[in-house]
Parts: sequence; C-alpha cells; structure tokens
Amino acid sequence: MKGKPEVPPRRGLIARFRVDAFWFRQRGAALSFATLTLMVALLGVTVPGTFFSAVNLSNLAAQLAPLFLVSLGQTFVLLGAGFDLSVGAVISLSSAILTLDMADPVKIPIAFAAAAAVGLVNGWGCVHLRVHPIIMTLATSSIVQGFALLLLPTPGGVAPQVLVQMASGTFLGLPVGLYWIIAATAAAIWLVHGTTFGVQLYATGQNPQAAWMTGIKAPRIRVMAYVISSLMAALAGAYLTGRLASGDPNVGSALGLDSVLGAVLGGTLLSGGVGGPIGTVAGVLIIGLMNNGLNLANVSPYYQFVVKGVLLVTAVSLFRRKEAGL
Amino acid sequence: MNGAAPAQRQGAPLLEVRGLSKSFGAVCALQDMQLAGHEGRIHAVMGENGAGKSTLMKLLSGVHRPDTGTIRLRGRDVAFDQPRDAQKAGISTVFQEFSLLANLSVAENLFLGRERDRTHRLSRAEIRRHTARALAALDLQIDPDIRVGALSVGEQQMVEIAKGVLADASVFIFDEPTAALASHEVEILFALIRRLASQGKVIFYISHRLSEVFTLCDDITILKDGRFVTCVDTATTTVDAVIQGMVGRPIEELFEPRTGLFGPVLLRADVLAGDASPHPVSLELREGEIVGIAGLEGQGQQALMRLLAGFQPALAGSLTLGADRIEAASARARMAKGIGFVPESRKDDGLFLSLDISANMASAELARRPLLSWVPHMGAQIDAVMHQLGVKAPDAWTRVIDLSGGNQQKVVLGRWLHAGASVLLCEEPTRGVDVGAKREIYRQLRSFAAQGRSILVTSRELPELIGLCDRLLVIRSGRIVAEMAAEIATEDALLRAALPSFESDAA
Repeated sequence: MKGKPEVPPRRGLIARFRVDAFWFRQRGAALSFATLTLMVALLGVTVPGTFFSAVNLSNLAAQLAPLFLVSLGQTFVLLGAGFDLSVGAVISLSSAILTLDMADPVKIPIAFAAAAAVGLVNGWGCVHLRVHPIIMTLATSSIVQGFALLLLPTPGGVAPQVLVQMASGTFLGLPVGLYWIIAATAAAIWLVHGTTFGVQLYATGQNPQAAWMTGIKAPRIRVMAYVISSLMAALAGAYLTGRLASGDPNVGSALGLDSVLGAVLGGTLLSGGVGGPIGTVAGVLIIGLMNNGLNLANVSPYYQFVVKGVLLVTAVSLFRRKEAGL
Repeated sequence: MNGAAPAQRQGAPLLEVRGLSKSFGAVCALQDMQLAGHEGRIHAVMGENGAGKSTLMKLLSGVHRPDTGTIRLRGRDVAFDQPRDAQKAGISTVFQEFSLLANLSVAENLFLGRERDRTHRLSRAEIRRHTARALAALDLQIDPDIRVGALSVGEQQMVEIAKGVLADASVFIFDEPTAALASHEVEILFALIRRLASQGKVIFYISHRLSEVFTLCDDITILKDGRFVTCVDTATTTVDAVIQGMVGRPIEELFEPRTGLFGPVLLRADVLAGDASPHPVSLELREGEIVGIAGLEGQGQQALMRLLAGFQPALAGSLTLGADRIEAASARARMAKGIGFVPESRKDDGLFLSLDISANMASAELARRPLLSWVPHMGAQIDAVMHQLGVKAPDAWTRVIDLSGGNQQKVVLGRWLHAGASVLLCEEPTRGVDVGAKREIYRQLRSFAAQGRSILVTSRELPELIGLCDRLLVIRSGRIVAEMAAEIATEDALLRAALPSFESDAA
C-alpha cells in the first residue's frame, strides 16, 4: 500500500545531470562562458602568436591550478550560504607543514588533517555558534596564518619529493597543472551534480530551515562544505609547495579573496544555493586570461588588482539582477 | 458591535474606476474593470489569486499605469505616474510589506519626508506632539519614541495606517492586512478600519478570508480572470454566492465525497507531551482517515503538529506508527519511517524557492540516501507526481519561485507523495491559495487518504475542516477538548467547544 514503485535507476551521466537540472542552477554560467569566449577571441586576435603558444598555455595551466582548487572549494561553501576567507591562510599553513623537517608519510597526512580541522572549526563556529561566516573565517584565518608563520617564519624548507614530481613539468605531453585542474573540476562536478550531497547542499544553502524540516541534516551539510573548502585549499598548498620545491608561509595570502572572485564571476551567488562548479571553471579562467592578457599587453601588474575589483562588483550586480528576474 | 451603522450608498462615489485595463506583455491582468468607492463604506475586493485584485490596487496606488480606462476621484479624472502622486491625491495603501524603516522611531517614520512645515523645519518636540495626537486620534497606545522594529507586525500596520491619516488620505487600501496578524490584533485592526469608515473615508479591503469580509465589509466587488463579475451589498448576499462568483461553481463541489472506509490505526499518540505542549495529548489516526484539528488561533495546534513530527522532543508518553514506537526518534528518522510534514509557512519552512520543482520534490526522498550516493534518475516519477497533482508548470525544471501559491503547495505535497509518506501532518493546507487550487488540494488529500494513508490537518477555516475531514478534534489551550464526526459537525458546535467558556457568544 505504501511506498512508491521501485524504478530501476538509469545509468548514464546525461540522464543524471538532466535529473539534477544542473544547467538550470547554472544559468549564470552562460554569461560567464560568453565573456570567456569573448576574451579568448580578443586575445587570439590581438596577440595570436604569443597567446596560443605552448609556453604561454602551459604557464597559464600551471599558474591557474591553485586558484582552480580553492575556487572550487569556495564554491561549495558559497552554495551552502557560507563564506570562507580562511582558504588563503590554510594554503600557507599546509605549505609550512609540508616543508617541516619530518618524514613525508607523516607530514603529508598531518597537513590535510590540519586543514580538515580548520574546516571543522569554521563550520562549527558558523553553524553551531552562529558566528557570521565572514567574522568566523576571518578569525580562523588570522589564527591559522599565525601558526603557519610560527612553523615556518621565512620561506624555505624542503618539499616532499613526491609533490615536486607531481607539480612540475609535463605528463604525457601536457603540463601537470592541467591534470590537477581536470581532477579537481571533475570531483567537484561529481559531488555537486551527481550525488545526493549536492542536492542537499543546494537545498540547505537556499533555506536551511526548510531543509531541516524536510529531513536533511542541514547543519552537517554546511560543516561539510567548509571542510571540503579547507581540504581543497590544502591541495592547492600541496601543489604550490611542490611547484616551488620549498615552503612559503605567505604563499596563499592573495588566493583567499581570489577564490571568492572566481566563484562569483562564474555566477555563484553569495546568498547560497545558486550557481555551481561549472560556472566557477569559467570564472577562474576569466581571472587567468585577464592577468595573462594584461601581462602580454605589458600593462603594469598592479592594474590587475584594479580590474579584479571592478570585475567583482560588475559580476555581483549582474548576477543579482539575473536572479531577481530583472 | 459594528458601532455606527454604515453610511448608505448614495450620491456619486468618491472614487470611481471605469473601463480600466492593464496588460503585462502578453498577459492581460485586468480588462474593462469597474469599481466604485463610496464615502464611509468598507468595500471588499475579492477574487482568486491572479484574478487581478493586486493589479487593480496597484493601479489605484500609482505603482502601475493603466493602459486604458479612467480613475475618477471626487469627480475629476486623475492619472498617477508614481506612488507619490497617488499619496498626494489622498490614496493611502497598506501593502503586505510595510514601507516603514525598522531602525527609526514611530514619530520619525510618520514624518519622514515631511519634516518641514510650510514655514519652518519641525522640531523634534513638534513631531512628537503631532505623532502623539495622530496616534491618539486612532486610539492607539503606541509610544512615539519606540523603534518601529521593536513593534509587533500588527502595531507596525497601525503605524502604517496612522501615516495615511496624517497625510489626510481619503481613500485607504488594505491588501490582505490580516495575513500576518494574531487574532487579537485583527480585532484592533477591524475597529480601526471601522473608525476610518465612520470618518467618511473610502476603504478598499482585499482578502481571501470570507469570514473577515462578511464581518467587516459593506460592499463586495468580485473579480474573476481580470474581469469585473459583480458588486453586491454584503447584507443581501451569502458566502456561497460569493464563492460561486469567484470560482464559477457552487461551494459543495469544493470537497470530495468521504469514503467512510477506514483500516486499522496507523498513528497513535498516547499521553504524548513535549516542551511546547506540556498537556499530554492522545489521538489516533486510522488508515484512510483525514482528521482535522479545530480551534481558535494559537491554542497549541502548531506545537502539537511539531511534536508529532518530531521537531520538538517528546518528554512523556508514546507515539506509535504502524507497529513501531517512534517517540524517541528524531524528525529525520520519523520522516524516513513515513511521516510527512507540510508546514504552515511554505516559503520559510517548506520550499527552496530558487531551486526547480524536481529538486524540491525529491528533497525528502534524497535526504534518506547516503550522502555520496548517485542521484537516481527519477524524472519519470517526478513527472508522474506533477501530473497526478496537476501542478501547472511548463516542466519539472521550472523554478518554484515562479509558481503560484497553489502550485507551490502542490509541490510540498508532491514531496511527500514522492517520498512515499504514509502519514501526512498538514498545517493550514490551503493558506494563501486561491479557491480553484483549494479544490485541487482537497481532492489530492482525499485521494492520498483513500490509498490507505492518514492525514492530520490544522486549519483556521472551520468550513474547510468540516468539508475536508472525516473526524474533528477541538483543541483549546493545548488540550483536546472535544471530538466529533465531521458529517454532523457544525461551525457553531466547533466554536462552542473551542471557546474558553461555553456561555460565550460564538459570534
């Protein structure tokens, strides 16, 4: 009498993604991809020789990999209606831990465990202590940055050999950074669009009260988003440490806000439950091409900060309007 | 109790609307509309959601401009480009969302933009004095210095009305003013509206609630599908006639016939008590049965529903679903066992507005699955539920925010159908839903029960409970004080049981 007829789950990615209506939640991404296409066309026309050169593209992949990782992590937090300012500090901390004078099999797990702990504290503070996410993660950011500097006061130390190998050079003819990017993006898209966790994350970000009243463990979902973000930051730290072959206690400082910028440029709203990792891919590429283009055009790198600020305001206002149906 | 007798409908109306039409793109929201407001009379504007009530009022208050037609105020044609023009002409609108600033005091809010007299800037003391006088004129006991944010919703509404009085408005428009009010606040609001009417103001009153309209209003204008249907004197019409005007069909057809076929007891609460509902409650729901909880507002209906759903922990007693004891289980665990919960406030507690229908419907079922499991393919199931409930939407990927109230409510119901709930706890199933969709929801609830499941319903509207349910429980101060079969129940009998003292006059 009760229960619904069991329908065998259909296999196939397309079927799942349709069910998840993922394009729907990614409507903002269309605008980001259009912008991106325009930027590629612009660079292709103005500096075709240099922009499409193998050197430039592989540099781009190597430079963008960390931003990809943290922006994708940040996307999870934003979808859950949170905000994670501490990712920059977590990158620095993991770089500091990874260059400690310890055996590799010991310090690598420690680095990730430390990051997960930071994520747990962030989530616990925001969800259970009800501290505003910006304040909470600002506080942990300061604490974590302090620990990073205590462990590694000045750049130096020796990176684990395994990371150096994984983060430099090429593999099968392609820059290794590209593999990091593809792996992280695939994992994020799977989590958000393929699993029940993803649907519950959207629901929680939209309306935590309704989510709870529907039987979703909303508090836990929100904490998990912070943990994922921190772990992605630790991965970014691992990549950077490997690439530099040594540690730097300030290596992540610029990436904290950039991670938000990447997600927001891709159409993820700060209000939660709208957007997703596919848009973030476009968002990060926009930042990357912008930096790259300004470099190739011999513009002072300091203008990049100006442009990024302008982009952030533009994106937030544009996507807000789109969401409001204006 | 109505105070002075209402003014007679004589002479030329103060405000008259003729041939008013308004389209938004291809949608014709209002067509050839007419309306006449007489001094001293309270005029209800009724119609289903989407009938054009709000559009009409927005035209009157200058939010939109009409495509064709005229608005005459005191015999002169007027045209409003913006809300400020309508305010200057003496039309004051109390919208559902107030235009007050929560951080300012009552006096500051009332004199915002009016700090200057013709000759000089008003001093704080003067503003305070004027405010106190305006509030006193309305018989309101509100401190002029208190921050508006600290007032209750009802008091804020009073301040909003006082703003209109200060501006010397002659026409007052109320858009669903009681939606957010407690019952004692409704009484105060009604008294205030009657006072305004007795001062010769024209009142337009938009509401879904028939009982309110019949207690308060003198005239009723009925709209359907953006067109004028009729304008009747309340004294000479009946509730049934008004409903028929709005829906185009008689009221009896709103409800489905009862089946009378019940199975064994499905949900049994035995002296169950919790923090918010300290009085132990016992009740039984049988398979196939719809049980209604009647009572005055705020008598513990919500606490009881939430105790049963598990949002409040049970402190004593037992709760049995089928053969399982579930009083110790969390809300989440109870949902997994087959309890569905339809909250009173869809938007706050029920829906994920920016997400699509399919995610909203699937959420309860997905919440039971392991976090990292694949989202199953369930497009066909969602489509089937949508079809069954008659959700009016292009497809399952329509965002819920774009749906009407009735369709949103169907999505919440669909969530539990999809999740295979066997007991539905339903708070105010048709709140903010138009009459056409109400009928659809009644039909769905009945067919849900007919499949051998049970439903417990709370509602403010007694006719709804009587028509929808098989059995009624009356709750008073958190205790179940009476039980009767819905077939023989009358509003009068329910009210008598619901009122604190039997001698009280039910009217």
